[in-house]
Amino acid sequence: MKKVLAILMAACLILLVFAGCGTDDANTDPSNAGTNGDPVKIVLLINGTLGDKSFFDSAKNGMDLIKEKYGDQVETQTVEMSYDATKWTPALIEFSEDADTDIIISGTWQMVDRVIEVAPDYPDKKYIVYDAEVDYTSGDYSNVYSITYKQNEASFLAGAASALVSKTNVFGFVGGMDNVTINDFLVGLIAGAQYIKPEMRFATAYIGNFDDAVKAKEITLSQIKNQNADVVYGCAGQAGLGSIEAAAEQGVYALGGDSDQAMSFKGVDDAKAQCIITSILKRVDQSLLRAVTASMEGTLQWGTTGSFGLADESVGLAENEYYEAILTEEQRAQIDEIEQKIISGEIEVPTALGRDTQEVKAYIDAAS
Amino acid sequence: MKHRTKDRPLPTNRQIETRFTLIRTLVAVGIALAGCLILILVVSEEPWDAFVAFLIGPLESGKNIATVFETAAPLVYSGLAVSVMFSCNQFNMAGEGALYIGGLVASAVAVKLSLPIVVHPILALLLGGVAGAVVCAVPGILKIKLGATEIVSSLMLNYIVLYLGVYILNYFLIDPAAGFPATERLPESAQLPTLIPRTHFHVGTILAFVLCAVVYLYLYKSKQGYAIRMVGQNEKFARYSGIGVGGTILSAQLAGGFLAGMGGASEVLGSYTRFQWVALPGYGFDGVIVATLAGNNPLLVPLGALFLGYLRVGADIMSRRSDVATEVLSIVQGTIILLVASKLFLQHIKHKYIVSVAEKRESLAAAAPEAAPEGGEANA
Amino acid sequence: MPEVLRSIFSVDFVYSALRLTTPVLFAALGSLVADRAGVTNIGLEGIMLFSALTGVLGSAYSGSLFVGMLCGLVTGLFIALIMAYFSLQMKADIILTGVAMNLVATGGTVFILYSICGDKSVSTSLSSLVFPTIEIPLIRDIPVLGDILSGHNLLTYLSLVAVVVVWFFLEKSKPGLRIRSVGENAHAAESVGIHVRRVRYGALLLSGALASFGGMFLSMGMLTYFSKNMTAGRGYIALAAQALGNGSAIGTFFASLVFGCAEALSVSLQGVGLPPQFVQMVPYVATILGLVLYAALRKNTKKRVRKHKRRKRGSP
Repeated sequence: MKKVLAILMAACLILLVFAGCGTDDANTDPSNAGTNGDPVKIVLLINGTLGDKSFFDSAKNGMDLIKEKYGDQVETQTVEMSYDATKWTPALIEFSEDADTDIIISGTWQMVDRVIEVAPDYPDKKYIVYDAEVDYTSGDYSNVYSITYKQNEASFLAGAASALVSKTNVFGFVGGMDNVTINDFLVGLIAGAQYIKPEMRFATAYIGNFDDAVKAKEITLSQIKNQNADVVYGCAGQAGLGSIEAAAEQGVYALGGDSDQAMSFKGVDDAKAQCIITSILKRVDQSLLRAVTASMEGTLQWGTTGSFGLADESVGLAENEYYEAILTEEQRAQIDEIEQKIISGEIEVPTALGRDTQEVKAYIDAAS
Repeated sequence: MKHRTKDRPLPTNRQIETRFTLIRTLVAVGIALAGCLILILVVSEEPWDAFVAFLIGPLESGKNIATVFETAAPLVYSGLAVSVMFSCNQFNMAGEGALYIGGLVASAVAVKLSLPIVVHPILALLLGGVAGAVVCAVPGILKIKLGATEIVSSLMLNYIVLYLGVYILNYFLIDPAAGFPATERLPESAQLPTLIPRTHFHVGTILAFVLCAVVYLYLYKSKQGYAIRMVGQNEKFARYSGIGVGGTILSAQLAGGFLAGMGGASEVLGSYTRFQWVALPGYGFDGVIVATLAGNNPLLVPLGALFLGYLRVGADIMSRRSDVATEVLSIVQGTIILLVASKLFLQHIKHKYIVSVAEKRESLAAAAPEAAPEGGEANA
Repeated sequence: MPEVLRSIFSVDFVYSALRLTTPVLFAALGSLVADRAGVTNIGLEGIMLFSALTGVLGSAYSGSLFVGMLCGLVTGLFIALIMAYFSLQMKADIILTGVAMNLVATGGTVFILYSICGDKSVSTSLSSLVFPTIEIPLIRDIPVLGDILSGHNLLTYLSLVAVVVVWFFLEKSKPGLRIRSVGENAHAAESVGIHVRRVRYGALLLSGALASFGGMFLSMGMLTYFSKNMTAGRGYIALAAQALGNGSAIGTFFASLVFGCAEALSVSLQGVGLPPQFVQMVPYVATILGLVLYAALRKNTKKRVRKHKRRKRGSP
């Protein structure tokens, strides 16, 4: 047994030495990427897996749009890093050290801390972080551009649309988890709905995870039957589909999230498609296309945050055939008008971001 | 003796046992990997590249090897925790919850207290461990006092611990400026320093491997460790020989919980900039895999954990470079557990070998009766 | 608060509790059959997850509900068979076997789903079939009871039937007797000529079959599609329900009902002003409390029996 231990220790040491050397080698490796003639290589790092039908898939779609627009001028690659957070920094470094890579795109708040850790070491690489803000005062991040979304603006519109079609004036909201990101949607919805009808009430519930679609459906059913909700929204990733199913079954309206969910049900399950008023869209694809376009044209201001909202078409509602069937022309005009007011700044949309949990809770409770 | 120098001495039964455990584990791994290759062949357009990325990728560069180590570190902690509890024949699955709460408590210590360097992470690690021990003790106490099965109660406890943790995170530790559910950035004084730049290979990683030796001494050289193993092997017998069974079971759970909690703390302090777990990290069940691979032996836990770490890093590299999904890994892991845990897997070969060795020994003894005791000595 | 009370004492609450009981009940009955044969089937979660997926795939590709059900059932049996082979034939620890199966299921279902649909989370791109809901003619017309008992999914009724069948099977039938005797004392059973391994094989297979219906209820009854990790720990809750059920099918039914109610409660309690995290804990806290209560009661009875015996022995 002692022998085993000894061998093990020796192996550890040897590996350690190797590991040390390895990184040193990589450091001295001169990387002069993006030199003229070569296509610009853009890598999208997904800190999760594709197939969420919303956020990450939209980012992937952005890469396809970029490829479509620039053709041979760019080389795009999309990489899934899985949900294990300890794998993300290694992957980020792997691509930062790759001499061919020019722009590394990654998203969500979890990646910000990792990007600002890595980016200063590779000043000749460019980093784009979407759906999160970099604190530029904490260091020299002149090669990082961050994109945030005014999701609450789109929620405001969706809330207004819900209030227009609601007869019982009760909205059923099911969140995946009780956290700021989810509550930001809720705050926007409340503000939008009460802008149209101050008497709109919100029944709020949370599942506790993003998997349990069964529970999402059960909660939504309870909101419809016991609290008379006639517009519901499952803001809970894949589990949110359970809410749409409940709405379709009970003949009430639902909102979709992240991608145009009505269109994804069209032809497969028309009952569900017909109950979805509209979907709250975070157009990650559009925002990435915009950012990369600006970069290619040399107009992108690296080292700053771009906050993309309704004005940049980076958030919005899905205006599909079902939206047009459910809302009258007059109502749609009303929504468009609100949209213009938000863009012009006449309407200020509240947010949950950067506010204390208790304060946000108080706002939500006041609407229940 | 001289006439036998060219032959190797005949192995004792115990050596055969150890050797076969090793062979069985290797064959199990081989079969699982072969199965994985078949799956890759079915689903992939470029199966060979995928497989090469899977197997060779983790060893390609020093950085990747360091990644294997850092991936293995939490697995070592949870593998040790499960090994201690399983040695006592307690199927306590609360290691998962213990690891979670350990991370949470450690980050609370890191963020809420300001202490000098060195002291800060040590206190965070210890308190994380204590919190883990408390969690794992609950199913133990329920079992000793009331006879409630620890498997079920520990599985339920994990969810309770998670939601409690998320509540604490959301209402007491959250940094509103972060824009997502996470604590403030962990202060530098509390972080476990990184040893290899640009990886998460940190002090806690080393600590994990050191702890293996400590736990080995605890389990195999201390009185309490002996009691734990006795209770694990035969509870009734242990009771008759005067061992306090209840206390022993509880101490195994406490030790296991402490290790798991410390693992969570080390992981958060070393690899994360903020505490941000809002779901169970899954290391608890991974600990079961590692403990199974290691046969509950703390000295073999690092090997099991490193192997698992190697597989994980390989699967990640594969999914980065090819069209094969990482999920194929869980099938490999499941197969390995099934085969390694099978006591009778390859048993007939072992029996045949033991019989043939015994026959040889007998024939030797018959041929040279005076040489036999010497041979025995050489083998011992 | 009064609104919450009203919703708890409403018809919908009981209806929803029954619906939430169904998957747990199926799996708990499966766990019961295995447990009575002396085998702890911790792999229920994995069996449910696999069957939920294959049921959807089978019905979507064949266009027949029956084929879908058959696929789910065969999957459940197949996984139980693997577990039985490794634990009984190869003498692997049954707990580890179960853990291994659950591991394979979490990744394996996603792997299969991705290979077939190119989607890692849900199967909504397939039009799979659903078990029908059934209105019971006479009961439907009874005022309150009709609303509670009628209009459930076919599988909910089947789960209730299964309670009776399992009870009859375990307590009254010859194979049931064998299972019980193997579970109580395998050596004694062996000595009277019962083939212990064969009986345990049978019990595990039956256990897999029952759990597979629990899984199919999730994806082909409660919802109309498969969703990653949709069992969400219900297989583990089933283990708890069985442990509380005192080894009888009827007891298991009531224990499962308690969990159904606890889950329905965690739905109704939302928005009362409690932090949502505490509401989400309700089913799990209920489980632990149930376990503690049950264990305490049993211990008391045992003590009383022992005292009683001692007193008997003491008296002339």
